[in-house]
Amino acid sequence: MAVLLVAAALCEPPLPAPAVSPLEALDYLEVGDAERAAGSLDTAQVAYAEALRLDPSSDRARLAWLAACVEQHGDALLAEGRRLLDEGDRPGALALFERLRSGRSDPAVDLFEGIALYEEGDDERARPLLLEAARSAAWSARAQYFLGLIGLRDGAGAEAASLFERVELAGSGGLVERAAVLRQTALRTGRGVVSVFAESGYDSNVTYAADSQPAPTDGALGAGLFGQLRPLGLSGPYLRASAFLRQQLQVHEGDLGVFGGQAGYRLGRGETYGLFDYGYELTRLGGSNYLSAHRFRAGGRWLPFGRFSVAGVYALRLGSYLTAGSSAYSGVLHSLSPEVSYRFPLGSSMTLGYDVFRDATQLAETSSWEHGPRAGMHLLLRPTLRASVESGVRLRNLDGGPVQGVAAVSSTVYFGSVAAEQDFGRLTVRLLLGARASSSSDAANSWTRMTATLGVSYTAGIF
Amino acid sequence: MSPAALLLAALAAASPGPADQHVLAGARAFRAAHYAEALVEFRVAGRLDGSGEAGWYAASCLVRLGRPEDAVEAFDESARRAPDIRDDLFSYYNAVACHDARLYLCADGLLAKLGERSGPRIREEASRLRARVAAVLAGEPSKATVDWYLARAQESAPRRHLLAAAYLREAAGLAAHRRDGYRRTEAETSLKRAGAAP
Repeated sequence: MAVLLVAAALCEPPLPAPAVSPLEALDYLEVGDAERAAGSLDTAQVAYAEALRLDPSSDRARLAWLAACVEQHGDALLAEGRRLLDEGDRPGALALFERLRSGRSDPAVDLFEGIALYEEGDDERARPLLLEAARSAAWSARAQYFLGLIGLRDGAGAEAASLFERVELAGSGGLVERAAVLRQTALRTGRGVVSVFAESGYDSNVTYAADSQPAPTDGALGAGLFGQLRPLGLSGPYLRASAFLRQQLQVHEGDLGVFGGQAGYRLGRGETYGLFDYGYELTRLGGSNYLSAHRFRAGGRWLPFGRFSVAGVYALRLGSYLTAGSSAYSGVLHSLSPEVSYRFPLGSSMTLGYDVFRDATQLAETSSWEHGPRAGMHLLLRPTLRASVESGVRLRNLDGGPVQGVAAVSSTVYFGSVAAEQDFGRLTVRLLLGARASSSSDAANSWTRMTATLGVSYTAGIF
Repeated sequence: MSPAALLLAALAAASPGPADQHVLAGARAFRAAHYAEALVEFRVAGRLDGSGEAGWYAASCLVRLGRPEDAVEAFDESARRAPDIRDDLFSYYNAVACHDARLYLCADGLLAKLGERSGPRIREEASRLRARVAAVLAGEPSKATVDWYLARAQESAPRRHLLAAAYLREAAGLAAHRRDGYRRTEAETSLKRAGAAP
């Protein structure tokens, strides 16, 4: 339908004749076919229009008229398809591109249809078209760029990095900048990824001491390992494992160790996908096992139109607190995190979300509802330099007070952070500044905490 | 009268028949300089009328549409199917088609045969065209020129045998204007093989 409307704007469909004459229409169709075969599209268009005028119900006449119009106005239709694509009307753009491609070879159409299919998440159909477009010198850089994106999305980091490098060498303008950004990402992705990291940090209130009390400040050193396997690429099963150790310089009751593993499945390579996974995590605090938790998670992301995406994740954590002082917090933690994002053309993005937590423990005084909005901005300042700002508010209400007749505690937690990351090949240096403040009906739960962390990581896609 | 107006006058005098409606519609379009519409109408008329008359008009439209090779083929086809229809006006258009397709000997031959009945306007146009053709044909044609026509014939042969024959005739004629008759035998042999007399 979109094709018909666009063609109508370009070729002026004929008004029906006062008397329908299918037999006469056939003569015009034959003449149109002969003219088209002789390469004379304008004459063919005239003949088909007359056939359509004489027999408006003839599919053959309508399709022939449309095909001749498309062929004759290929450039205008390609421009219209690109406009639709830019406006986010991918189905409309795809219908035009498919029509344009039928019966002729045009690398520009191959490219833009490939891009539309890529944006639709249909990498299987996009790839051959982009490969075809890449053979044309005029479109090679752009086609390779999108092939790189497909490789990136498929977890083929090395292949993607190589494609982006070729774009950097051959392309120009904004495309080169974006390729440089993505090559950095590609170098750190793949179907198998390992990462090691180390960090040092400052914490103004390690123990969450109340604002009325002196807060123990401390420094810390940390290190960790992370590994991930995606044997079938981005869409398919995945396995993750991680270990993190942080040693406080003075307040050793804050020494932390977190060890976890995760197995899951993601369906969809593109911006639209669904996932579910199971994970196990053991947390050690102050040298003792602190929390043993099983976590189930399901969620997805959907790109309904343009650059906006909607995402949501539901998680269920079955947690057992393993120390005497914390065992009352054992129970089931539900969390739901919907969000809306807008992605800017060069990779920056803005996110608005709302988180809801339900911590259902064995006791009312430790069970709680917690919810609140958050906002984030991720900025791509240079191909290798990123910055982010996040902030939010959480309202936390415990179900009951510690003893009969005492009001339940309610708290409001404000949080914000600023981070900057600079890549040096596979190395990334990261600076994170964070602040959290709790304002509570219970003075003991009103606290302020500032943190600063400087870390470095090395990440490599191993295959 | 311009050649187009003369063509219309010829159409007005056309004998009535089942294809008349389309012939007249073609004539109206031709007068309005809507040559694509005119061609389509003449083509349809040609399908309805076996006399071959509409083919001459269609060929004239092709000249106006800037498709000289198609026009040369269409005139040749019409000359085979309905040779009696040819008149000075069609010969003039045929000569223009030959000239535009670089078939200068063809154009010269047709222009030379234009009679006195063609009227002053056609005679004037034909005279100017013949002078241009004569300028092109002055002197001995080069070997490269003969080669070009033979190559063009070879390119056309698989699907457009009438056009190929026209190029072969031109090549043979040009070769005959050379003292050494460069590739003349080859051109004439190819022409005989193609079933057309030189």
